[in-house]
Amino acid sequence: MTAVTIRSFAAIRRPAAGRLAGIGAAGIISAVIIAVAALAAALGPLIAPYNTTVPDTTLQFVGPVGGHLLGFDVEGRDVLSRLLAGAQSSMVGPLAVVVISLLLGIALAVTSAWKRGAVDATVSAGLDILFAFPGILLAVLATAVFGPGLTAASVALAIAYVPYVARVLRGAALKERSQPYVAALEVQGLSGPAICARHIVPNMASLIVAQATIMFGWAMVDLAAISFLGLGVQAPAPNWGVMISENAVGLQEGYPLPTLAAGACVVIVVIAFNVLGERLLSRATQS
Amino acid sequence: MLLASLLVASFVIFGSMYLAPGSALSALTGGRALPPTSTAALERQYHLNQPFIAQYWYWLANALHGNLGTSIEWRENVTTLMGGLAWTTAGLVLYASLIICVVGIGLGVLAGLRPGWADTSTLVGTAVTAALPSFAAAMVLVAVFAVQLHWFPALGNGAGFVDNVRHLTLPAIALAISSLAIVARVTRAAVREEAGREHVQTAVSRGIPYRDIVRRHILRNAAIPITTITGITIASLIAVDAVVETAFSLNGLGAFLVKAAQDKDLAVVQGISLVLVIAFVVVNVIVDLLYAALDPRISLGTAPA
Amino acid sequence: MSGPALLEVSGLTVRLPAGSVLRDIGLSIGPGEALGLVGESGSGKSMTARAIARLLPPGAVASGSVMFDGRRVFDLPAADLRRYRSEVAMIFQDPRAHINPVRRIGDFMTEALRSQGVAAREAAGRAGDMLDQVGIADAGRRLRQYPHELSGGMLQRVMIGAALLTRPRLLLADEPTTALDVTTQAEVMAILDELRRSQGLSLLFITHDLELAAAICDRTAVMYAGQIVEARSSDRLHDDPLHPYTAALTAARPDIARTRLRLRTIPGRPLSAFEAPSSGCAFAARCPHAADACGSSAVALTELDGGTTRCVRAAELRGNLEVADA
Repeated sequence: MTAVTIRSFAAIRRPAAGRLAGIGAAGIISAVIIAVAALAAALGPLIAPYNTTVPDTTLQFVGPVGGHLLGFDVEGRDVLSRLLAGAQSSMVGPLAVVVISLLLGIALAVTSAWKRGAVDATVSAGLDILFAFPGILLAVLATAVFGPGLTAASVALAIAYVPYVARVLRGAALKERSQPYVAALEVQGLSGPAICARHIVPNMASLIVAQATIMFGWAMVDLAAISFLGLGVQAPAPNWGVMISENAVGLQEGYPLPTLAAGACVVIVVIAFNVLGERLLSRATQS
Repeated sequence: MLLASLLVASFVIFGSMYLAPGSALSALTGGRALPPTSTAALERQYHLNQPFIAQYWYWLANALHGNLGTSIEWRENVTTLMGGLAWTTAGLVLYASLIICVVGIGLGVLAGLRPGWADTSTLVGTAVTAALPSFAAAMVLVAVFAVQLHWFPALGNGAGFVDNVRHLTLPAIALAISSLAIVARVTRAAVREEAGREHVQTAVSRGIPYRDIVRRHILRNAAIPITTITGITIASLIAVDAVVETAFSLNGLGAFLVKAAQDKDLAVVQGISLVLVIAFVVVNVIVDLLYAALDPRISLGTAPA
Repeated sequence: MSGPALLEVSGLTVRLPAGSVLRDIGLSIGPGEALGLVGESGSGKSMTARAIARLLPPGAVASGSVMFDGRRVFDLPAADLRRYRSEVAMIFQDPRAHINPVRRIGDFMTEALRSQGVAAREAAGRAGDMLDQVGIADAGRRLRQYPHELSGGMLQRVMIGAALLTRPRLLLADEPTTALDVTTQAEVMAILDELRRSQGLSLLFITHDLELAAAICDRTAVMYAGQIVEARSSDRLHDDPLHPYTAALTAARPDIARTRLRLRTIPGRPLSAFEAPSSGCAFAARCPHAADACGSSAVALTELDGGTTRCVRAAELRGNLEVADA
């Protein structure tokens, strides 16, 4: 048998299913919605047609008129502009949560899967124990200690999500680890961390992306709830969760539009993430 | 295992004091300026001049005896403050759980057993509501049922048992709605899957009446995943109920927790967090016990698949 | 065959949305008689049993007739159907999948009896006796156990025992030993054979193994692509097959007494019913004796020398169907 050296700079990939095919019409619509939201998040404050922070109580809860498509909010500010500007803080928080929990989760999952044995058992037991902490509760606790704000809440939420992420990814990592190509690379002399980083993780990419998408939706709900409670982004900064709560008085007085508009933004974007995430997940678990 | 969870959780709750910028004392006072007698009292109560582990032990021991410290904001015993509120929260969570079980499981079973309009309408309805966060649902419910239709009050607790129930209805629905959708979907899927299993074929081939087959084979077997998902969603209610209580201005533990966090009243936050986490763990224990009772292949002590 | 047939199937055709799975099936089983039904995967043998048991999958359309004891099975109303199900019992291939894992063995065995009104205690007693008969010791303890505590072989015996508790007159056995190892297979076959004889049971025994069918069945029918291609008494089927497919099946089985350089195979792969050509013999493409006549029109079953065969060239090929060594 002739010796074969595998140049392992490029990851040994198992053939991936077609890129866009397989997520269906619903998936495409969701992706479009997400793209629009991301655009709003990036450019919101710049493209908002009207002032978003200066209050004008004479205009409180005035309905849609002229160029103000969604009317005015509790402080007399243009609702549409506030929504556009608020997209940023509404989406950045979840992004941070997803990134942090993924980094920690991947690290734990892959280490646990690679070492197996005692390390795996300990990490798994540890993660099982941490499962007991609901995310919102941890975020509330964090804001009580560190003061209200997006940072404390996001970090707390990220930590609360880690057990779930790590558990899901650990399963996939274990499966990858037992693939024959890993043994082949080990025999080649490639070190553990290198194999993990350059081969195992990239081969889990579709699963990671799917999980990330689903988690973004959850994080958005949780963070919007935290801001709604007044423990996240603080008024008068624009943020969808804050807008829902500050305009809630409008419901009683017959001006439901500002609150419901903000609520609709959250719900639509979250549903989009959920739908896309589930499609990606079913595609990832098929191959 | 769950006991370990409880211990770690309580540790985190207690230890959070030390994560704050500044000293543990400043975390407890929440940045308020207090006279030296008060700070001395705090130091004594929390044994702040002793090693960390000893402090934790004292706190935990006190907590288990019902002493959760004193609220900085209200100058009263935390446990006393929590007393009346606990009923509202418990009532709300139970009410929502009832809705989830009856409506969620009921719809799921119906949709699973009968293909046709019951099935499609359930699928469509749950697809929309599954992603509806509780506070959004709360707003919509208030807008429609309270303000427009005047069927239910929008805010507050009400007085007397019947009035209480009336006041808790919209909050319970808001709390239950997305969980209900998830439970309905999982129930439907579980019922469908069990109905297609080979052992059901065996029963059919032996001439056993359809009603009995549904009861003893399909539902009995589907009860396992149904119980699991229902338990998980009910446990998650405990965290989200703070949001719903705030949205409806109910005076329950959750709303108090949020207020205390805003006021930086750490003792209250710790106390309520501990109680909520215990409740969460207890629900999980009950789910595990039910699961082991329903599935003879699992013995207690092994983690459910 | 003594007396009128207990089970009489003729012209049975079953169609699924994907295509037809059974075409013009005809067979008969007399009281106390055992008929083997042999074929490869996709030949339609399981589907035949399901049609007889009225267990067809949703969306299946059946035509033709299945007569049991002179009654048309497809027309039976609900109450008669229940009674029919206690007279015709079916046992399945994978016992672990076909027994509810969260209920006890005793529950499984007595379920049918109890739904007929038999008291629980009496049903349990009969179940215990039956377990003894199928060779499971310590019946009392076993009845209280769950399926995951028993081995595959024991579960299959439980399944057989449960099926026989209602004192059926016909047993449909769908590859009952395929999922078991050879030793267990022999034991289960022995039990099946003995019980059958002692209770005077008729048996439809489905398998892919020609010799296994010959072991306990008086007659054997061979299926290919949804049709019966040969039916004959078992020993004559083996020594003197009428249809090229049967001959090829017999030849393909490795014989421990002989050595060969290569295993005999049948070129190509088995067709399922909906892949079969609309005219001509379905086996023609793989048949070493195929001629022009084989592809022209649908082939009917013809009687020959005490058996039936679906081959146009059967008469002329008599005795020459032995496939030469490769």
